[in-house]
Amino acid sequence: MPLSNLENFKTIFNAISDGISIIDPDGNHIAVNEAMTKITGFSHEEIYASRPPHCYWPEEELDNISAAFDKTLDGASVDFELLFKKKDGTRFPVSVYPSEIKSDDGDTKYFVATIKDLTEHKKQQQLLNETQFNYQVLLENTTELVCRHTLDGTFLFVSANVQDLLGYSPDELIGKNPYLYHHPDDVERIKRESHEIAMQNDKPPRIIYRFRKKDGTYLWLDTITHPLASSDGEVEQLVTVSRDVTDTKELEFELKRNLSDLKRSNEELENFAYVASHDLKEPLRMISGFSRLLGKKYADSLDDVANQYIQIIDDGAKRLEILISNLLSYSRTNSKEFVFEPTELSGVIQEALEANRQLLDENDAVVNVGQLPVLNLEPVQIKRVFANLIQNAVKYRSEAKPRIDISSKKFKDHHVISVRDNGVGIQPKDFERVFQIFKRSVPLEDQNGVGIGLAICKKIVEKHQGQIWIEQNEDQGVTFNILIPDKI
Amino acid sequence: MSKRLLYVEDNFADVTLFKEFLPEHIELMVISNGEQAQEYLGKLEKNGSLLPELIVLDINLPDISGFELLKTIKGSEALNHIPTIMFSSSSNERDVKNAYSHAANGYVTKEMDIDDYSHKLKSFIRYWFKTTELPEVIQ
Repeated sequence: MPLSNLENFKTIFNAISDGISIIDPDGNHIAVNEAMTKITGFSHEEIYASRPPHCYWPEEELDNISAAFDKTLDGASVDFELLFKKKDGTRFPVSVYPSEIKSDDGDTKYFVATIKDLTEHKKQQQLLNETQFNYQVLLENTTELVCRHTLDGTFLFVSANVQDLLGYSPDELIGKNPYLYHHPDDVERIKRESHEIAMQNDKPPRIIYRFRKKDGTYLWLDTITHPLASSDGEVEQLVTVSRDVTDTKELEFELKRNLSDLKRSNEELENFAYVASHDLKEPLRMISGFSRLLGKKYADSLDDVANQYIQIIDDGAKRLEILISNLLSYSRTNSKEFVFEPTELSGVIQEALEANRQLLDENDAVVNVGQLPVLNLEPVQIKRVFANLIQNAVKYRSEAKPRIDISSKKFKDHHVISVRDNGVGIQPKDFERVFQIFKRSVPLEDQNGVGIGLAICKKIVEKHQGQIWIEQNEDQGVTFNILIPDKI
Repeated sequence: MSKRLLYVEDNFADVTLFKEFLPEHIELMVISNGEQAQEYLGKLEKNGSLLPELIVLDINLPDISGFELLKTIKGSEALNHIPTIMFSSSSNERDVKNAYSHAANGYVTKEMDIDDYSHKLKSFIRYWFKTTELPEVIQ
């Protein structure tokens, strides 16, 4: 393409994305390309009409611009970073590369300046700087230890906070293998559960293990290992982010210790309740036995008052015996190993009703049993619960003919079984109290009073990981609700 | 002819109750600790004296337990034919199983109610004496 072809030259001149201006030695524009008008916002006419200082030269930049001209005149051939001005007055960074074109006799014929708009470039640069800054801030201020490793684990990079965390400087660790610092008991687990998994480039594995500090003590680290993979999915390096969880771990150990202490103390208490109630029965048997014997054998030689005293001793002994039996029963429920099996609740309820058949018949009670589920239960124990509730419903009946409704409701992950009665009811203030050991809501009127019955019910339900609570019926009586989780 | 019964029990009150309701014509020997009981039975065996026809053991004895004594009796060829009954206030399943696993002939609980106690005591003593009674000829 011959350059003399002016049309061709113009096309190329205007197609170039950088601005180009050709200026004569007086500073007037001879030619300006399209890009120059785009960059500055001034039209060709405006630029051609402009005389130095040109319309796109900001006043504050004039010194720098003339200095650039001088340098160019001195023969320098360098880029100048300057500020130009748009037509709307905004300043923007440019890179100007001026060159001097001389005539055959050596005089300056004109200058050709290539002007690159640096706005985008500067923006990118700033963004990059900010991102780098952010990373730096993050690395310097995070409490998490960030490391980069080769595939065998060797440290390539260790964040500076390692000094505070572990006592080593990054340089002390770089080039070393972390396995040298792991607790011997944790090494195999780290290999298996973290290192090997990370190499598979799947979900970054997380592991909690011990790392030896410079002072020889160990720190618990919670580490997530991220694989760094090439574009074809090949894992090339590993990045670990670790958090000091020593405090949490110590709390966990303390909690475990406390739990086991609590368990032991509970076991001791249960054992104590069992032994105490058993051993209490012995002397009680003597009190009861001999008072009765005394009354029988010597009734004739004792007066009425003496016989009455004997009766009082006997009654007291009987009451005490019931209390002890209940305590024994309660502690046995507590210590008993529960074996859960899928159980038809309707069968259990039928058995519980049978056990109370005489009581139900005598009171002319009406029992209505709804559709009941199959649940994971300890059948013998859960039968005790329902037998107890049924018995209470009749025993604490109102004037009305006793009516018991047993129904079940399914929820997302549990069932609630309800035993509704129309009895004398329970004061709402006693809803919690009746489940306590030796508490009853009605006066002690018969020797076989429940006392501990509901406490045992509660214990059994809790052993099913369930809950038991009372609701006041709108009309009469109460409803006992028993929540049993579907999965035990 | 009276029957011989050995009762090993350390509690005076229990012994008193036992005596109170013991059927008639029973020759009762009471020993209050395990070792003495062992010694006593050993001596009878050695001398070829008349052995008791029923042994009743409490579980909680001051020295060796009733179970230990039971083991000795059931481990002895000369004694193991004597019906031996554990008589205890414990209704603990473990105790009951322990008794039978050491070949006790019965496990009877000391009832709380005095009438029940008396009834039970009389029944099991009569039962074992009757059951083990041999025909006249062999005697």
